[in-house]
Amino acid sequence: MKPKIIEMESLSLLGMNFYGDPFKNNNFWDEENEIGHLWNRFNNYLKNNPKDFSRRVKSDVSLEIFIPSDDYATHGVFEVFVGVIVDKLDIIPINCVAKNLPKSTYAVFTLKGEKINSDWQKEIFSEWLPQSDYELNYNFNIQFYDNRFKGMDQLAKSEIDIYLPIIKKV
Amino acid sequence: MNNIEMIYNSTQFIEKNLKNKIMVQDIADQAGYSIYYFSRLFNKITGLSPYEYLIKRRLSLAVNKIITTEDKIIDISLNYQFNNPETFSRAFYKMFHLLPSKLKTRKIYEHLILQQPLSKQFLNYINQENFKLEYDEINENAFTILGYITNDNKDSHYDILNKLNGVSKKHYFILYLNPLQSDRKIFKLIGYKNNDNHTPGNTVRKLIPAQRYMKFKVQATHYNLNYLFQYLYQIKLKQYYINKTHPYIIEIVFDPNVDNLNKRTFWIPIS
Repeated sequence: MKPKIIEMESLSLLGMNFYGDPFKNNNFWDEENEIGHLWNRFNNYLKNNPKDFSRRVKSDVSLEIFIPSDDYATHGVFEVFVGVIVDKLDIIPINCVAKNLPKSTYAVFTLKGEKINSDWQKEIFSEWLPQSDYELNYNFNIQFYDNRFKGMDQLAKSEIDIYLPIIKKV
Repeated sequence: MNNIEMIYNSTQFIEKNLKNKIMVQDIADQAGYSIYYFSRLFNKITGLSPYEYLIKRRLSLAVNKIITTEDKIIDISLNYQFNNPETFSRAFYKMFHLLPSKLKTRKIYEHLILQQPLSKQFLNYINQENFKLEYDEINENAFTILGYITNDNKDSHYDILNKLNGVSKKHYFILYLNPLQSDRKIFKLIGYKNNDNHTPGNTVRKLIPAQRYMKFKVQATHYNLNYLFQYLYQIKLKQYYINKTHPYIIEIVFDPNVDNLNKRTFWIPIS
């Protein structure tokens, strides 16, 4: 996988999060994991409360941020944030949380079709990153979804971007 | 190697390392994937997360140690890689709703739902395309089943039902008395709903109390009934849902002539 290297200004995000092991046997009776439930919860709130997102920009973009915890390697525990970009965080509804995405250099990987469902984390972190001139600037990564993503049922026609905050190795 | 085999191999790796300090990272590395991808796949195939399975297996073996040895709880907890007895007790209570110290004094554990190692056959069964559960919560009044007890796995139901002449035969019931018995010796009471006080010959009468049940409709044969029960108790039903006094399952057979592969109806008591 070859990324584009870009500079991105800080972004304000409004959304919802989950912290824990999203693949643990949950209280729901469906087959979805906690990340699926988080997306459903957020999308329903977004649909039913448009006023809370009046500062939304890039209305076709939503994103999922993966933030490993200190217990990630031992317990598989991490944070997932899903949300949208806003131009200002003047109101943070009680149901939501806000994030400031830091200004940084980012490596942008475009995943197409089945690649979206593949183990791209391994490819990026175990293969591309160690061989590149960069190291992680911050320990998180972002999945950007825009109108190129047609849904999991139309994966073959879909594309998403992975953003990895990086810095030149010294 | 398909995904089921790969995940099965990971469960074998976990099994070999229950007393060693291993991390989710080690299990994912052994399979050759990132933690994120591996955990998602493990959950898809087993219904559990790798860490959850590792802990449940350790706690289930600890039950056995507490019951069968004189080892101190602190030693058992350290042996199974819990940092201290408090962490162990908390995790133990979360899984069994019982403190390890209580188990040591009472030594009663038949009602505890232990996490069995996941066999390849079990994983193949729950990942079959036609393995779909339909479920619903229902309330039932108390009733009595009159019938015979058997541990025969074969279709001997006809013989038993024929012996029960003179009772209503709309549909019959199978009461699985020890559904989590792993050696396939599941004792069953086969009979009809019957509210008389008469208990002829060698028949057995069991009062089923008024109860809330999770009703399941699922395809199952005699050969994979153990796997189905294992799945329902150890994975699908959360611990706090289950009636903790004694695990039992009721099956309602509407027509003894139906093919075994057709949807079968089971009731599991929940609290």
